[in-house]
Formats: sequence, C-alpha cells, structure tokens
Amino acid sequence: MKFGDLLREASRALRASPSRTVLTALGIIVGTMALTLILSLSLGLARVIDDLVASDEQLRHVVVMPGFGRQASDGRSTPTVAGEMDDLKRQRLQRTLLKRSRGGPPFQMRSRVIDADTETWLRAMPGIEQSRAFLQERFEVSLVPTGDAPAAATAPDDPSAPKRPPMIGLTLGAPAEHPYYPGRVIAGRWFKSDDEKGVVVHEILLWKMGLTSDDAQKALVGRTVHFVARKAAGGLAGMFFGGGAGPSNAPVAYELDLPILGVIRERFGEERATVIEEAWAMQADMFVAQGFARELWDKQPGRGGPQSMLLVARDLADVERIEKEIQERGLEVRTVREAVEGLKKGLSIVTVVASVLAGIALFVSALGIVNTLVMSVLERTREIGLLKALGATDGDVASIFLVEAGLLGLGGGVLGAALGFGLALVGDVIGRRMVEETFLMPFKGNLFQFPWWLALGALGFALVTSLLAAVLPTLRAARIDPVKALRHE
Amino acid sequence: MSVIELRDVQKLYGEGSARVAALRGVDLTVEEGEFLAILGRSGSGKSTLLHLLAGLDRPTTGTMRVLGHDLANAGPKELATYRREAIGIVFQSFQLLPGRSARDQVELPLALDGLPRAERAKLAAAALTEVGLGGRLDHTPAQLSGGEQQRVAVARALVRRPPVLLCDEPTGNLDSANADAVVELLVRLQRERRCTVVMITHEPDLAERAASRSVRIEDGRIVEGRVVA
Repeated sequence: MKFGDLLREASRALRASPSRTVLTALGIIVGTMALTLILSLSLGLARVIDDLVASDEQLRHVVVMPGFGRQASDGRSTPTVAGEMDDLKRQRLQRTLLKRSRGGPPFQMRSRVIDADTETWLRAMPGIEQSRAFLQERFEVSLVPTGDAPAAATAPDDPSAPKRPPMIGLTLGAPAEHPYYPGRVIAGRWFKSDDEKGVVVHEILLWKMGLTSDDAQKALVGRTVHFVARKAAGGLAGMFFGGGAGPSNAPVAYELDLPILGVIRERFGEERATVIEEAWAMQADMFVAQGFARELWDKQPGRGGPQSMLLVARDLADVERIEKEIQERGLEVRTVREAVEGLKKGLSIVTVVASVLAGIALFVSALGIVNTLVMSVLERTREIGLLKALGATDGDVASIFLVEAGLLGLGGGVLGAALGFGLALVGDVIGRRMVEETFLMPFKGNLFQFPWWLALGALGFALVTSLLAAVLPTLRAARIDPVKALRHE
Repeated sequence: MSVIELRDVQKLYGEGSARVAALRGVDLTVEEGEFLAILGRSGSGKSTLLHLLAGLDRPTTGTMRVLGHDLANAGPKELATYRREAIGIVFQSFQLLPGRSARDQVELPLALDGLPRAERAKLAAAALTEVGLGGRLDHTPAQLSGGEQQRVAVARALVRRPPVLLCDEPTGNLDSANADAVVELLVRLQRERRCTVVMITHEPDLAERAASRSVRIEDGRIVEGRVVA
C-alpha cells in the first residue's frame, strides 16, 4: 500500500470517531505543550543567565575574602553562658550565640582582613590580569558653599528624603580605566588616573541633598565637597554598625575637601555590567579613584588590608586553579563561575523535574492512544480480515494502525507545540512586566526561548511516543487470523 | 492443465481429545477454465476447503498446489502474494466496508497493489460497469440492494483479473431473483474471462445451472463428483 493510501485510511478511521480522536489528541496536545513550555522557559532563563551574568569577562572574576576568624575578640572560641539553668538550656544558648557570632555582641568572632603579605601574594599570582581591593569608606559629607551657590538646594517635597547637611555618604574606590562606569557619567567626567584626587558623585546623593534636576546636578561639577572621616567608621563594619544614617560621635580621624569631577547614575535597563562590581557599588554614594581610595583607607589607624579583593584571571581556564590555590591558603573564594554553575544546576534540576512531570502527562496520553487503537482494532476486525483476504500482508495491516497513531501524534504534537509557542509569547510579556516591576527598569530580554529545534524536537517526541504506544495494538492487528476476523460480528 | 491440485489434505482443529477433523484426506484436481461447484451441507467442511484454497489457512497435512503455489508450506508473505496475484474471493455476506462507495470498495485491492489513484479509479469504474453498476459508482452499501452489493463484491474480486475466482455461497444471502442474476453474472464472466471458478454452495440447483462440474463433500471427504455440462 502506498503511503498516501495509508494516510487516507488512517484519517478515515480517525474521522469515524471524532470525539474519541479529539480526546486522545487532547492528551498529546497538553503533554507536548507542557514539555515545550518548560523547555522553552528553561532555555530562556539559561540565556538570560548567560547574557546578564555568564559573560567571559565575568566568569574570570574571583572574589577573595579573608573569612571570619575562629576566636572572639576576647580570645574565646566558645561563648560563655552564665546564670542558673540546666545543662541542656546552657548548651542551647551557647549554640545560639555561636550561630550569631558573625552578627555582633555579646559573642562576636574577630573580623579578619587580607593582610599585606596575602595581598601581595594575591596580586602576584600567576594568571592574574587585574586585581582590585574593595575599599569602601563612610564619611560625613557637605557641599562647601561658594559665593553664589548654597550648601544645598531647597529640599524636594518628598518627606522621606533627608536634606540637612552634613550627610553620611559611602565612597567606593574604582579604577580610572573601567569598561562601564565612564559611560554612566551624566555630568562632568570620570577619573583620568587612579591617583586623581576628586570625587564622582552618584545622582542619588545629590537628590538626597535636594538637588533634583539635571541642571542643578550639572552645576555642581567643579564645586567642592567637604569630607569628615571618623575613627573606626570604615568598611563593612562601618556600614552595618556605624551608627545608622546620621553622623556618629566618634572622634574625627581626618577631614579633606575634594572637587566634584562628575555625576554618575545607576546602571539602568539592559546595560552591560559585572555582578561583583554592581554588588560592591550597590551602596556607593560617591566614587574615588582607586589609588587615592587606598591612600584614604590607610589613613584610618589599625586597619590592615582590605576586607575583600577582586581578582580578574587572564584566562577562563585559569579560574579553577586560582580558586584552588587561594582556598589552600585558608581564604574564602566566591566566583561568578560558581554562582552561574549553581544557578544552572538549580535550573537543570527544576527543568528535569518539570520535564518528567510533562513526560508523565505525555505517557498518560500515550495510554489514551493505546486505548484508542485497541478499540479501533476491535471495531475493524472484519475490515482487517477482508484486507488480508484481499492480499494485505501483516505489515500492510500494521502500517495502517501505525500511521493512524502517527497522525494522532503529529497532529497533537503540532497543536501542542503551537499552543506552547503561543503561551510562551504570553508568558514572555507577563514575565517581562514582572521583571520590570521587580527591578524597576526596562527589560527587553526573552524569558522563553523557542528555537526551531525545540519545535521539531517536541513534534518528534510526540510522534515517537505515539508510535511506541501503537506497537502493541498494531501487533495485535497484524496477527489477527483472517478466517476468524471475517466471521467477527 | 491443472490449476488446483489437492492430495490427501487434512485439516484438524483443536488439541488432544477436543481435536476435530474438518477435512479428512481430500483429493481434488481442478482444470484451467473449469467452473467447479463444491456441494455440501452445513458443517461438511466445504467452507474450510475454500479457506484453504484462498490461502487464509493452511492444511494440517497433505499437499496443496494452486497455480504453482505450494499452499501447505507457504509462509505468511507468500500466502499474501498468492491472495493478491492468483485469486479473487466472493463472500456470502458480501464483506463490503460500510460508508464507502462502490468505487472505493473495488479500488481497495488495487490500493493494496500500490496502483496510482487515477488508474485505480479507471479500473474500478470498468469493473463495476462490467457487473452492471456503472451508474452506481458512488453509492454506499446502505444505498444498494443485496444483489447490487454482491455484484460490487464480484467486481472487487475480479478487478485484478485473477486466474482463479473463489465463491463462498455467493447467493446465500440473496432472494431468488437476485441469486439468479448473480449466478448469471458469474457464469458470463467466467466464460468471457476464461478463468477458473470454484464455488461453494449447498444448493444442487445452483450447481446444476452454473458449474461445469460439481463435487459433494461430506464429513470432510469428497464423496461424489460428476460432470454437469
């Protein structure tokens, strides 16, 4: 029998029981749709991760942290819990204090820094292209008044915006040569050298000062900011335990005046950035050139080295070795590679679990195909007998039912994949809106990817599942005894 | 020249004590161009004999040769080829597929041969015209009388121009007028085409009118044979 005739026979059989055909196909449609939708989302999310995080540049980033010590400030390694209580309660409270030992008193593990030897060793490691210390300082800042300009403009109406100088501002050391920061400068300029003594102010700080318009902010370029550094107020400890938003009462360590070189804005939309630097700059109100930032850092007495460092490997292949060597020295390491691997592993697990569920849906629909074909074979027993009497081989008979199953699989697969594609488009619109509402910035990426091979693969999968489901009923049809079949009522 | 040769053919059904012999040593020879009627009562084994001749079943013992095909030892594929190339079958109950036109019914064996649609349609129309149904090509079984349905079945059996036509009680489901018409049709076609016909029937009158020779089968054995015309 020719394939065209097999197709006609199969479609005739499917049309003979429209409701049964539709219900059977519905199972395949739902299974295929679920599978394509899950894989499409998984591909889309993997792509978003790749686009936003897993660039070659970022994967070469290695963050080094000294980690926390194993002893508290007073030399104890186990907290003491005084008072009258039973042993179990004491043990429980000790454990609670130990768990909270990185958060603050009464039992606080000593915070470590990267000492000078370690810093030198890190910077000299083979395969390192760049190294940068995380240098964040906390200052009281105020604009130095000039003859015709006020210390701060009139406060905006927003009551939540603090307006009175001096304000608390965090500075972050940044390199003069940077791939992204200079592009975000909205007034003035970025640093010309790593030792330049000046400051690039974030527009948010100016807004907090009441300077809201672009013009008002542009007018600040060239003005001077007065900085007051108080003792023990730098770094992360200063951020978290330094007395909140207002000026502290600690003694003044030093004061200085710096010119405003430019005004910078936040990363917005899908602009390129690196995750680690974005995290570092998250709280920064001002940027200072990194060489000068180090000079300021070292002005605070008893500080030691930086609390973390960013190393950029020259080659992606070196990252794992670098990580290992640093860990062997007892330091903590965080890499984008590790984070991306973790994200992708998580995504893979979710995808596999969801795909298995969709596969189960498709398996159930395959049972529907088995049922439909068994019924079809039963109803067409006489027809099978006649076909055999007219010279049909077992293969001819099997082909008719296989093509019938194939049509069900293909039809269900096409509709399922099309429906999946449609839902992916809708999901993309909803997903983009959610991303924009969550991150408050435009997002044009696709959360669902629908490459041609996914559509073809889904079709193929639906087809293969249907054909496999048809094997038993088809064998049954092929083996029917024609004499008995011709007598079948 | 002998078209059909059966020697000591036995057909047993069942196992052990439940074993039943449907045919017990049948010897039969049919010459080319003969119209042979096989007479017998219900349960005599005549339908079993026809099924063996049609290659739908195989004998338990004995030899069967039809047009050079060794039916006793043929495999399923060879039997299918035999059914396609050597024989046409007309059933008592017509065996038409419901809902399909007369043309579709007659095209079915040609579709199994893989003939192109246009050629199939032409051959089917010619075959139906030959049996007097040229004006009813698109009628479904439900729109045809019993006699017309059997004529469609005859057209389907003969559309491939097989050298042997096997008829299993072809008038068994027809009234006398329609039965006469079908018998006349079979006789005419056999003469025109010079094919060999083996017809199973339980009606001696029918055998008398149509066949050139008849044999009687009882309890699975051929007990009597005579030349009619």
